[in-house]
Amino acid sequence: MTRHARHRLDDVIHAPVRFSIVAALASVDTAEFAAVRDAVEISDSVLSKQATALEAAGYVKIKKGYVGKRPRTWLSLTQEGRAAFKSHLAALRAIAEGATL
Amino acid sequence: MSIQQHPTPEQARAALDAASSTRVHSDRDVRTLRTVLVGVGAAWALLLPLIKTAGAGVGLWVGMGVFFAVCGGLIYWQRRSVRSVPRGYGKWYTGGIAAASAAYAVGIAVVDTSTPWITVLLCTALVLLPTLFCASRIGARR
Repeated sequence: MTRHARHRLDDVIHAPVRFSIVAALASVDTAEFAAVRDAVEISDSVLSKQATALEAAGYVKIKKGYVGKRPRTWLSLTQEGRAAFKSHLAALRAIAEGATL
Repeated sequence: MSIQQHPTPEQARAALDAASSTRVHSDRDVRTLRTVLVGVGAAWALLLPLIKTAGAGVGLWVGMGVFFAVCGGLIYWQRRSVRSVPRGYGKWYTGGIAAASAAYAVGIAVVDTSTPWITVLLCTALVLLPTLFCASRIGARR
């Protein structure tokens, strides 16, 4: 029996805010915290919380540093995160097409 | 949008549309990366004619001071103003800097005050070309 595509949706990524964050990061090598916050249209605290959850899942790398005296945080997808997002998108496409995989 | 449990085909399509329309990087980020890359390459390249004309004297040290100030300023500006590096562009940026640095290392082994100008200009072009090529790749539409 063929399983429905929904079973291949990633539990971590499918939450709407985390999905938006991962989608935003998928188009870049790395992005500043503020750039992701503005693109996804969420608050600092929400992004911080969700980015930490994605980091705990091994999907996002968080790098902190300074430019001059200003603290900066950079986010990027790990290879595992990219693979998970790709697989998640494939499952969504299958659902959108009404197929079972 | 709610795709928490069993997304419908419509919800899945909406999620796919949202994923494809989300854009973090700006054209300004791309322009800044290109400018810094070409600027650093030009600074490396201009040191070779300086070695030819100034030899190992005070002029060279002044030139080196200007070079480090220009490169440091460009890289600081890049770090301050670039908010994101579009996918794949980081490799071209780093590759351009590395290739120009390697070409410069060859250049300083070849160029001195007795080197013919044509050789100096060739070495200068060799240092500059990798950064121009990589900058053009950074600017290419993906």
